[in-house]
Amino acid sequence: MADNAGSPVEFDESTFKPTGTVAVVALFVVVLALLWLSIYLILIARGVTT
Amino acid sequence: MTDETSSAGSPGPAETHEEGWIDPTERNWFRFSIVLLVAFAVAVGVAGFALGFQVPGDEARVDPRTVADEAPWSDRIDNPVREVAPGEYVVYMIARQFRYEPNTITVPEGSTITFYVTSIDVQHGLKIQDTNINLQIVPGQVSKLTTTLDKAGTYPFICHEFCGLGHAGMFGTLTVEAGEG
Amino acid sequence: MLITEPTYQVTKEEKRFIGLHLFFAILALSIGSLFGPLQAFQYSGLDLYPYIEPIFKSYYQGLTLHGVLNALVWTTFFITGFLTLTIIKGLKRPLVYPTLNKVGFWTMVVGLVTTAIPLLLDEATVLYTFYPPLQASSLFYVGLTLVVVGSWIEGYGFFFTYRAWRKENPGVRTPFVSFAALITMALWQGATLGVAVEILTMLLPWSLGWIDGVDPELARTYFWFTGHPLVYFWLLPAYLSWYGMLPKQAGGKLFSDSLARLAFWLFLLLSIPVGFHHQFTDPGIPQGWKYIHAALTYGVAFPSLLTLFTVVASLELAGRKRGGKGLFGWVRALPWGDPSVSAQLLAGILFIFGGIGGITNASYNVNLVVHNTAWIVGHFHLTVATAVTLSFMGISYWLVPYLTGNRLWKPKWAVAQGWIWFVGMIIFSNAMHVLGLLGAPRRTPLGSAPYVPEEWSGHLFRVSFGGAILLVGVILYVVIMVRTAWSKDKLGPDEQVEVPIAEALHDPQRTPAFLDRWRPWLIATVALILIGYGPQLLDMLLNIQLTSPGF
Repeated sequence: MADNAGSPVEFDESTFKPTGTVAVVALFVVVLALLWLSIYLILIARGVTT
Repeated sequence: MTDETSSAGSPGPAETHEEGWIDPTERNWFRFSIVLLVAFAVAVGVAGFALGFQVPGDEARVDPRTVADEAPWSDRIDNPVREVAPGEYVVYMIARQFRYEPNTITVPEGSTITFYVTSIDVQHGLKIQDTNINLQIVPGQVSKLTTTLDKAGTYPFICHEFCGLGHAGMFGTLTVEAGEG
Repeated sequence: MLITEPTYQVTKEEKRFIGLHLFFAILALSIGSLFGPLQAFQYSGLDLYPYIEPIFKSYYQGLTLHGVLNALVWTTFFITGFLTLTIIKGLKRPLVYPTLNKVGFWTMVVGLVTTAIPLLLDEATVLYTFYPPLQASSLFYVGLTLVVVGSWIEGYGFFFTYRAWRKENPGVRTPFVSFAALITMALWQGATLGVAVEILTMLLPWSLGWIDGVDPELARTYFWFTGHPLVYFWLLPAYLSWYGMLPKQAGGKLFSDSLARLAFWLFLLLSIPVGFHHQFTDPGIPQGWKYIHAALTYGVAFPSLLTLFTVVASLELAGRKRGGKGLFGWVRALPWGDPSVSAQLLAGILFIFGGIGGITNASYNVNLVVHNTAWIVGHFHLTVATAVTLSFMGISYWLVPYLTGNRLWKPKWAVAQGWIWFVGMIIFSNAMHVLGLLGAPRRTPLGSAPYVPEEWSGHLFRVSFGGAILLVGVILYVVIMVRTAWSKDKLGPDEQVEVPIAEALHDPQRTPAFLDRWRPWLIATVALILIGYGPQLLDMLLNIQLTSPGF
């Protein structure tokens, strides 16, 4: 994916679309969900407490 | 550099375009973040209040200077585990520098067990390994939590709050015996 | 744009004043950090405490020094100094009452010394949470109070300066770095009311023998009123740098001025009424209130999620301007050779995992799995000891040359220092998280605890190994700082370091006006604290039992 062609000098920041950022946060959400769920499942496996 | 420039001397009125102040991509992340966090809140709320994965609440208050000599804690050594109904047990426990009373507990497999724990000196902790029993023990307060022990085995319980120089040696043993149920 | 204004030249005297803050901060860090490895080594059976016993009496005394000096002193002194600079530089004017700030600072120093005496004499081995009925020497409580009061006074100095600037600049958006500094200080003033009340109404009179007992659960509740926003007091100056300075250092711009400001307001609004999430396993607090605080904690996670997007987008813009291509090519294009940038980037990367762990801890019943286990220690070494501390180290790689006019000593070593911290912390923190899930308690010399099973030993060793790497990292940092500050290698007139203040991609004047108004946000903050804490605190006060003598 190379939609941002152009040398450093020519880069037009007014049309900047943070595509890489979207990829980073998407990755973050996957990692967050997996790690959180793994701890949540430990809770479930250790049985109820009332 | 963007084209819009305004000199420092004349700041001009705030242009509060409803559409202008958030990038559209970021606006989506803004909304998605809220959905994600609400999903977490629902997941733990349902587990806590509907499925019985509950944290301790407000139980009772005691006087830490006298509680060790008062019923039902006064009987804790001679009568460490009380069967209140078939398969249901209650333990009244005192945490103190640097031991638990009682320090060994034995129940049959499949028992439901309720702990009422308080301290007569400083704060302590009670974490029973491989279970969800995890309590902060605070003098003047009674910590209560109930769980069901389905697997036979030996479960150490450990003090997890710093309570003085002997803290690292403060632990006890819960034994769940196989068989009878 | 505001950047067209002439900049304010910070005077020599102002620089010296800010530098003094850093001196005490780094002094505290260099002493406090020596005890970290002693604890980490103890985990795998290498107990060095017997060798230093003539001076330091126990693992727990070392642990108390480590917590107080690193988590409380290093942070508070660094932050008050750094924020002083961002106020002056952002508002482009001197402090209105510099004497007031000096009084605040020296009050903090007197407080630090007063706290240090009982700590070093083993008269205050109560850990940095000082939960009663463990009782410290009254000097310890007096000293802590003075540190807090001193930081309040420095905060008042900021607020008066802002008021003067506002009169001179009606209608202008507050420059972001100053805005962020003001919110951080406002948060701190509100947050510290908890410990102030705890110490002044219970712990101090009790340690002096004026009252016989305290109510430990009420004390815990006061403590965590302060304890959670305390972590935001540490974190927000790092965020200030990530939003307001790092984009400039990396060659980009702040992607969204509006959301950066919104995030800071939300931190002020939500970081106080969430303290019960440290008390999920406590007795004496109803489950309903605990759940409300859990929900509000998810609320305070929201501005951190916004921060993730805005900061990453600002860095992506920088990377693309530097010629980075493709979905991730901009990451490599960032100036990793700049020690200040690389340290802050590495701090940010580890903070992703600190944040995930934080959301886990706040998740109500999920907390039963991790409360008071080694997991928590692993967690806050990613947050305060990396996101905050490594960012502050990164900041000091430009700040100390800026303040002294000296060239940074061996910049390549400074780059390496950040990586050493990063690698050491990954090893240490991962092992601590795993140990916690296996049930290892925190605040415990596990190397000599009788219940530790054999299968923990590999993880215990990794804790020691990571701790050794971190020791190298902190020594290198202190050496670089000392060699830079007391160097004769002056920067030339055209090499002077400037304070990196990032421009926003869009003119801040386009930021909605409600994001630069204090009154509505302050009213909402107070209201939310009253809702979140009022009823439960009132109930606890009406049923107060001062029945716990000291131990």
